[in-house]
Amino acid sequence: MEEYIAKAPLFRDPIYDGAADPVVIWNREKQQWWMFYTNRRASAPGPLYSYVHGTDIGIAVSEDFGKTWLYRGIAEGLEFEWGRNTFWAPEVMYDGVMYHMFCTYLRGVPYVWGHPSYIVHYTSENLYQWSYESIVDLGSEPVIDACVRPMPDGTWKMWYKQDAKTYAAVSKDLCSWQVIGAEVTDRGQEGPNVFTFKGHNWLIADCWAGQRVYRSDTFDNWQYTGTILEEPGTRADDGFIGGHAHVVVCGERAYIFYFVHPERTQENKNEAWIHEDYRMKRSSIQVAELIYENGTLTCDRNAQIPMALDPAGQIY
Amino acid sequence: MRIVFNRSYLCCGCKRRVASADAAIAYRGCCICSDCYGRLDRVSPKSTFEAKGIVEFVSAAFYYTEMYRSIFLEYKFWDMEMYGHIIGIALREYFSSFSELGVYDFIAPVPLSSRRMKQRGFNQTDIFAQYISQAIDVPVRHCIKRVRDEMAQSTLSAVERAVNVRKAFSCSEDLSGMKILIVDDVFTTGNTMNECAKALCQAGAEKIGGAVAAYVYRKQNLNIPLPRVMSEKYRKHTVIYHKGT
Repeated sequence: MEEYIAKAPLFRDPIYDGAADPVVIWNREKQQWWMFYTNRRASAPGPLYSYVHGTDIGIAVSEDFGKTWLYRGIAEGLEFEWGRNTFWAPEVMYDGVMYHMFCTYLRGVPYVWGHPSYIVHYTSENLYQWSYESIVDLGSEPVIDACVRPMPDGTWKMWYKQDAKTYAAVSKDLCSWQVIGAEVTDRGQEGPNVFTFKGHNWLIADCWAGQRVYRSDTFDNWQYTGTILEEPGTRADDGFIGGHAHVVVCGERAYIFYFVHPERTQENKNEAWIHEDYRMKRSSIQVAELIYENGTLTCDRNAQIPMALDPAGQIY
Repeated sequence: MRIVFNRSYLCCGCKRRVASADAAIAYRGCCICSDCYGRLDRVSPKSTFEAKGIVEFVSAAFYYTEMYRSIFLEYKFWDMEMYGHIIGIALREYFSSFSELGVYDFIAPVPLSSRRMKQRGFNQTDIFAQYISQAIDVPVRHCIKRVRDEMAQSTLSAVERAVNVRKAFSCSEDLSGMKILIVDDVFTTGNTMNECAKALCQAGAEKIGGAVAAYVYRKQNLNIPLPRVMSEKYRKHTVIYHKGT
């Protein structure tokens, strides 16, 4: 396995040019890395926020340990009711027997924010054909952006966004969930991602001004330790805040996959017109290495560090 | 007049005699010196790797790279039981911070066949299990039996390993609802641990986790093939060791 300097951008969606919310997983059957992402329709015309709705879950595949990525299509079988519907922010994980996807679902194609949203559970044996299992009962909605991890005692824990906070729920079987309540509330956030690295559990969450980093030794009681990806990078298509991220841990190294709206700036990011302008809507996927130092994680998104996604190594 | 003895130990890594101050871990007349201990590739605390099949995860204290391998092979194949205690003490240190593993009802070491037990005189995994048991305060229970005396896994390819170990284990106890931590020496393909887990699940076990001394991760670092018959290099090592003592 040869190491390489990651390309920038790492990946652009060739259909709509709006790849966002990436999650990267090893496909055990095909011996490839697969990237799932929200296939935002950046290049499609439409009013207001329609480009972030009516989205499928895109799939890109790497046969060279993450160096190059090829768009292969969309996750099949996600529709479970009539109509053209919206799928966001997949969480894809392997339970030792099969793959599970926890995907945000909205009925139809709204063009403003705020429609009811749910987290839907799917299963698959091959990562491209998915079977609907259930709408996860989390007590109330809207809920989005699930992240699911196995706990050391054999149970499962889900973190998700509700009321701009990170909530948590636990399960023994990935089917029925018991809501614990709000777990990270210090600042508005979404897109939580939890992983274990260098002996600590970490939760990163998108606060729309970078990724807030929290640390815990017990998968709860998260302590804020800093923010990463808040400053623009200098690589191609990397000149804006890093959004909704996913971390892959390979042994003693960890890589963060995130998305960027490369044409946006601090000055125009809150203006309404950018949501109807292709250049401002398009987004790219980037990758950078996380470094553990002084009790927190840092990320130099401009560093040219050789990397390779090794399928062996620490997964959870 | 009081005589002061400056005790020295033989290092299981570099085979040199070192003063007690330079021994990172010592057991009887044997130790691992600070230099060699520093050359072991340690896994970050509380790390869990993906296992195989119904085993939910596997945790490991070391990566199976050169320094660990040279110590471990002499322990396993050349009856250097003291080396096992040195690795065991290191395991106890590593797993003592892994309190999450305390949820398991008991530890089940992977058994040897009676023939191999007779040959070797000890089960290398038993020693590791005892030290891990001390670290996480979970008792050891020998509930897995080897029902087939297959070829040594270390002599086979990945595909051969899977076939070789199939249905090699059984468990006759009632383990209904139990959470069990299987302990093995090395995690390579995960086939052995998965076959043990199947036997435990058939006996009613609810959750199976895994803990090993070493995890084979970067296979490209292991340029030396695992020996079918112990190579001259290791014979030589052994001779040096005996001379040294």
